[in-house]
Amino acid sequence: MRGLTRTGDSRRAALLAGALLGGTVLAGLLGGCTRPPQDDLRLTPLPTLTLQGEQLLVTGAGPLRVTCDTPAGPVVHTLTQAGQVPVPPGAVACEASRPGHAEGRVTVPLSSAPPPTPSTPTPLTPIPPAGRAGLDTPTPRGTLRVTPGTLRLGQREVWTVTADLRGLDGRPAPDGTPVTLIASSGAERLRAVRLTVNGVARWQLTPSTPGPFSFTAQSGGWQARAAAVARTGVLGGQPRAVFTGRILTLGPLRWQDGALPDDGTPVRLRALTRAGTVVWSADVTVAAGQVRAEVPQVRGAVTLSAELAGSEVRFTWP
Amino acid sequence: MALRPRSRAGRATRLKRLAFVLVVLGSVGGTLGALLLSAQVFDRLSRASAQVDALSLARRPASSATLGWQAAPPGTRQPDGLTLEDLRQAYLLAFSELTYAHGSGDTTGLPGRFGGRALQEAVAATTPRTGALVLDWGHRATPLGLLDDRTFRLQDDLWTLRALPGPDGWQEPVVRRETRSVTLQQSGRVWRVTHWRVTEWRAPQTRPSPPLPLKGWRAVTLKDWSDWTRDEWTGTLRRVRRAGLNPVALAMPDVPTLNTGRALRLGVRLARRAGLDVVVTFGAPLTLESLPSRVTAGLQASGALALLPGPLPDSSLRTAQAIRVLRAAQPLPLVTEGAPVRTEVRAMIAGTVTDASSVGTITASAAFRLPAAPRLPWKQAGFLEAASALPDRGWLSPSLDALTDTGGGLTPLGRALLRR
Repeated sequence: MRGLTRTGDSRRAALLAGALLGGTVLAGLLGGCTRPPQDDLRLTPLPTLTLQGEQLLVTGAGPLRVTCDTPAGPVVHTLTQAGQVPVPPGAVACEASRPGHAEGRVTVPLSSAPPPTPSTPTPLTPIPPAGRAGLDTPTPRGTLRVTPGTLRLGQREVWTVTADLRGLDGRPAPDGTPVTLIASSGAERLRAVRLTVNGVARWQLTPSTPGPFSFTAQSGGWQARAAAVARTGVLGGQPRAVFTGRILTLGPLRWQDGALPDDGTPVRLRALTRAGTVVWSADVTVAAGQVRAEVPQVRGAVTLSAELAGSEVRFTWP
Repeated sequence: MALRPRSRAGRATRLKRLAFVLVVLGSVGGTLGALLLSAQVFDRLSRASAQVDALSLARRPASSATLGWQAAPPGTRQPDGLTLEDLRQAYLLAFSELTYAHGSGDTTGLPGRFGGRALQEAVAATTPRTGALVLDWGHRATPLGLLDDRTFRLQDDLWTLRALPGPDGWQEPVVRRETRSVTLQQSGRVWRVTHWRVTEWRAPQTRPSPPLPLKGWRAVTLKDWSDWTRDEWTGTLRRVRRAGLNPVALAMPDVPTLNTGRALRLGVRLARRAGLDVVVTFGAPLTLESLPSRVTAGLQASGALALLPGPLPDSSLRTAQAIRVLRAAQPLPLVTEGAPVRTEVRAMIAGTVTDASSVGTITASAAFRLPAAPRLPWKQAGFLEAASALPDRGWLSPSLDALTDTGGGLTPLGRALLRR
């Protein structure tokens, strides 16, 4: 009897569970078929754009995008709410829109600045940038490094000039800050502009003349100096000079450590008279450690001079 | 019931527990490391992808004569021809570098092309990355002369386009015709743009296009003509004319070479001399990015009958804007294909090319684009039958060799299509 009751209970429980499951499935299906609730229709006011001196006053709801067209392309500001943005220099027109709702944009045409007078061309030295991305920070500080301190010419060595630029708060200068880098010695002056990445502007260069070089870095009101020396690549031993007809073959040329100069290293050949006057010269390059040049008939030449990476060797003119 | 004293875990058990904890910690650490590494790899990959996309935009077709010098004002000191070419290259490369910097966010090349205030403005406009599309074309520059040995000024009349990235493509495209006053300065034997200002700008003026009667088209497509000699042009055009085909559709190559522009001009001139019309066709879809190449081809093929700028990818506002700009920037009437044209720009379309399946929509200003003839012999009979049954409308064939043989005689397909 008890066994029968237990069987009936379990059957009832199974029926109840089945009914519950069926009800859940049915409710799910009915719920899935019902129309999803529709969003309420909301009217969002269009943004407005007003020019106030050098600033643009932007009003409107939600995130706003202000795009000003300049000769260098669009300058884009994204605002989380209404506010002011500076007018970039040379802007032709500015637009305000809500991102993703391009049809509701408003435009303000701007008068562009007159061109510079011909008598005062813009200087090449960059002026401290102003405007976005924190570029209007006060005079930054930084360091200038040049490695290696002594460079041997003609031996695949390059100077790496590193300007590490930081703001007064010690944080790296914003990416893209231009830094003017100048390397100069008595006879040579090299110049480049590099932009900072993580506060560092880097320049690699190879000088062509030996001697002490001074390095200058400028960015805005910041300036730093450094020095390094380029040493002559000293040739090891006296190379052979052979004339075959009018072809002069010079070499093999070797540095003091026995290595051949790189192919393409420039060599200046000169024929000198007894008084030291240059009567002929030619610029050639090294190929497989040798130099070949076609030499014309030179009257009065007594010495042949070959200058390579600041190192000079002299031979008797044959 | 007496409680059993809790037995202390043996050394082996403790070692097992320690190993288990170490394995769990190692797995968690490894997962975190893998996540960090994959995030960095993804970041680098996406940056490299943006740079590659921007580079393809910034690269100009070699064939495009994108800057033409106008007459210099009298009494100005002008540079020699070589320097003028250096200036032209430097000025156009400045635009290309700007396009690249906007697209990629990589500003390292800007100091090589800009100096002074123009460099600051270029850096300010491209940092942080805007992802904007910045294009230019149709430069007509007036050399205002050298102020000193290292300073040159010019006035440029050009077209510019800019659009911002959006979730489903470019948004808010703006096209202008601008007049710019530009100063370039030489430093270290390199000319750089140091100052530029837009002195005047206007919106492009579009005009409607009269419909072209495409009903009479018996057009044939010529491909790979960039390096053709005059004899090759003359021979091919004679073959086309003898077969009674007209117009000639010159398919632009995917990668134009330096010769493409010259060959296009020569082909149009020789075809007109032979009494044939020319249409210039593009295979890739018409997009905002592809506008400069279409405009350049339209200008180079001056005197041609029409321009087929490629299938329209969709009927969006963006595509309508591209049609409007293309109509305003070059002289040839436009014949479109692909997606339907929006009503607001329908007046700017001179005709339509459709595939043969949509016969019901064919009108007098529409033509069929014939599919390529099948190569399998048992399919050719059916194709010939279908070609013979085509209604009497204009058509555009993909190949000359399918219609005529080298001797000038018609092939079976040519006879079927030309009803001979």
